[in-house]
Amino acid sequence: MALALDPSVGVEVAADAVDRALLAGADSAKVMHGYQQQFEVNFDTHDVTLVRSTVSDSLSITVFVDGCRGATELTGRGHDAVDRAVKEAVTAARAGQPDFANVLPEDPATEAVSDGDEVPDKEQMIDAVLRFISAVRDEYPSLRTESSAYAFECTWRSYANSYGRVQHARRGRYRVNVMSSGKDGERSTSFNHGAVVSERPTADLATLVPIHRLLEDLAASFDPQPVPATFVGDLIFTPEALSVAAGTIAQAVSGMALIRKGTPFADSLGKAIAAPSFSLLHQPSALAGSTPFDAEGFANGDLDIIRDGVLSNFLIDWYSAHRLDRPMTTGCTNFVVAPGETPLEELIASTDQGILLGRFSGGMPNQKLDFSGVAKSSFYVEGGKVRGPLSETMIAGNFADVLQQIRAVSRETVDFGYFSGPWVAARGVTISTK
Amino acid sequence: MLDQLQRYSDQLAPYTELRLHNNYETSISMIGGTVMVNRATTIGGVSARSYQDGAFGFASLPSLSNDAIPQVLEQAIDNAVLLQRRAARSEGDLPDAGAGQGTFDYRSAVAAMTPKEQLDVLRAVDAYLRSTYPDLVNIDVMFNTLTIEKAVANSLGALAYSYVPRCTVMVRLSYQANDGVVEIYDSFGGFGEAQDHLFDIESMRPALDVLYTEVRDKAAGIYCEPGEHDVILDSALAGILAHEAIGHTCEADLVLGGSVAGDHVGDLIASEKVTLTDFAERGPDGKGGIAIHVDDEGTPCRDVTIIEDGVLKSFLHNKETARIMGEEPTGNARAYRFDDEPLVRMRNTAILPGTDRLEDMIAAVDRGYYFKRATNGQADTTSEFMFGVGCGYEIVDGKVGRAVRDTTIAGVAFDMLKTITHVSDDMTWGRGGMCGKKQPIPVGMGGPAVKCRIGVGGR
Repeated sequence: MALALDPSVGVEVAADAVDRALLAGADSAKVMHGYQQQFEVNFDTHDVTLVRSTVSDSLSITVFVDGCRGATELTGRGHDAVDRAVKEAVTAARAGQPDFANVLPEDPATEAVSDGDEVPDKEQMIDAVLRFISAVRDEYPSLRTESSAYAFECTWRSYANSYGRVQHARRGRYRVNVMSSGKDGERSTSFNHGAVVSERPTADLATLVPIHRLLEDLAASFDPQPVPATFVGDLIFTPEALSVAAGTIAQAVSGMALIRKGTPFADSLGKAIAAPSFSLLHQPSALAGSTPFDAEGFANGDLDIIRDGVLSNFLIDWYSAHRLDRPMTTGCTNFVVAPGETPLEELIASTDQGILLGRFSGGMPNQKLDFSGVAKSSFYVEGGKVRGPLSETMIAGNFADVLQQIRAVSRETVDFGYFSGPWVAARGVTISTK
Repeated sequence: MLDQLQRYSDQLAPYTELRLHNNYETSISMIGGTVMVNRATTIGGVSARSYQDGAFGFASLPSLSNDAIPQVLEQAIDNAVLLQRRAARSEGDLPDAGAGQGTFDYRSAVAAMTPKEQLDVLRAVDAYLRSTYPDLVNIDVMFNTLTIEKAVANSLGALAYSYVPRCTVMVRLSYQANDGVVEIYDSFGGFGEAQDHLFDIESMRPALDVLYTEVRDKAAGIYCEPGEHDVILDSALAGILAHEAIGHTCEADLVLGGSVAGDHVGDLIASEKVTLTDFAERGPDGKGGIAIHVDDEGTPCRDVTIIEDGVLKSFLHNKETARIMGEEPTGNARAYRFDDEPLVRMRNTAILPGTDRLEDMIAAVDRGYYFKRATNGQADTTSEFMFGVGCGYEIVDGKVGRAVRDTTIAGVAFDMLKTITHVSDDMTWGRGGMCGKKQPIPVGMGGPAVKCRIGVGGR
């Protein structure tokens, strides 16, 4: 069923769309062509529920007319459809308003990395899922799995712009998403989910560290209790919770946050914004699920964001760089929090009172980075020991303060493929119950 | 589209659904006065899902051509056969809940707005706010449309076409407080195409003025006191309450996955003042956030009363969950894009209005909070839920007082719903709800204001 395509054809498709945009009246244009073949095995507690194969083929076209921007995205690449789309984009641009940051890179792009399988072994993937269902049924009989999937995606992306700059890459990746909860008679637990991206297929999904951790934590989450009383104590981010927190921090050091004047870190470049034990790195080289190149065709490279507590770089993409008149740093976001020096056991043992945060379910942090929400899939820690699972427990604080209040970072880390990080303990968070 | 599907109706065997599907979107963002996004998107294609002896196979191609249809039909069957071969099963036929038929076209009779007219809406809002309120730190205005066009056929004779648009203008204001920048936002528009709404500045001015007052109030606002409080949830929040706290726990796939709702059918789980329904079509007043007459499995949609006078009555089903649980499909199977399979999703979910007046409800609170708008929400199979609150005020001695900063409210729905003592006599539908569950999907959320006791995050 799948249409045959190699990366060089993708570049030709993109370059052809650029030419059509120029013919339609654009002063300059850029095009991203994406083509993906996906094979997905969906499953629940009892069975494989669906086998799904999809093909996507899309063109994202941006045109500039007199410094004004117009864009369009469409599926397929038929000439008539592309001509219609670029005409609409040019019309939209002509209705727009000039922006001095609407420029395109002119120099040749550095080659991006292509890797991974092109075709999955479908039967082996189904077998892996059946093995997982059986393992969970045997080892975790009180857990129920729902809306879960083991997928293979092979993605070709090709970029071209009107200055002759081209870029292309192909990447084949496997992705496991498991959503599960505990149910034993009328006893139940919250649901939680785990995900892993990998370059190679996996025969035993239950042994993948994030999935194994998910199952173990859920099995230990029956009969939860609220914290005994409201207190100000330690918040220990698990790697899962840290992956979400890292996104919040990244947003606060992004070019868009600077443009919107919406970050407390606007004047903090080169200054300590976190404890010295904390380093947040943009490190695509360490992550299977990283992006080969960004929206302007720049190959994705490593970059320090926070190194030893000091804000080393903002996340400035091509557009933000021109808008803010700052050097470009990266247009991608693939984060790693560096491991620390404290063994996890010692990190827990040194906690007087706090919680081990499995998942944060809360409102979006505001521009000041205030947050408040519910601690889900979390455990109460007192006197250096994990005491039991939590329910109806809320946390509130400020991320900028939390970064300064980090007291320990674990040696151990978990690699999810899309993020890698340790356990991080911070003081001074309000932990409340009803 | 229907003609195209009809041509293949005799090839839909074994049980098969065939769907032609386009999503049309427009996104224009004016961030701080600069147009940073100005994009129109058309994503479409064809998909098929086949069912054979208990095994589902799905396939899609990014094309609406007649060439693509036989290919996806063949691939969907191949996938079902592959699954059947690796994991043999025999689970019987899917229930036949009737074959949905008809054309449900909600496109506007008014001429479409041009790109310039769309941008002029943003320019006018930005210019009004910038000139009237120069002390604002930042102004963002975003124009978004989403129209979903689909045609569905199945082996049981379903054949239906729908064209369902929505359009929102979102305005976000930032204001400098003593301790940093605070922001607030609100949405305008809702169901229908852009030209169906009044986006002229004269119509929007009163609400924009209120929004400015709210962001100033918030800048001078206080943090909530953490703990459980008496609160009034305005109708915008009650809609999210209906969706997050109850609706998700009553989706039959989540019930099968362990939702606590599965243990409580027939039980009193809420105040007797609470009746909660997931409405088909456009809801009881014809103003629901979405329109759905036939779902993506071809089932005619019907209303589902989830809670009636406080008693949990029933769940939301697709064909598969109905087969497993021995119920009737309810028309809740929905897919977001052409390459998405239908999942159990809510439609227009709402608490029905009561008899109380909002003013009296506020007066009945000695010390608590009046929460007006949510930012986001999440649910759990335990019925524990949370929403972020972006706009709210304290209540002291029955009167609205100082504004509060961003907070989160949370509770266990099956406990919290029993604390509802008042339900207001009006009802409002949200303007642009989206729900995430593997796929995003537009949903309608509505309700009256309710008075209840709930956990509030704070410092």
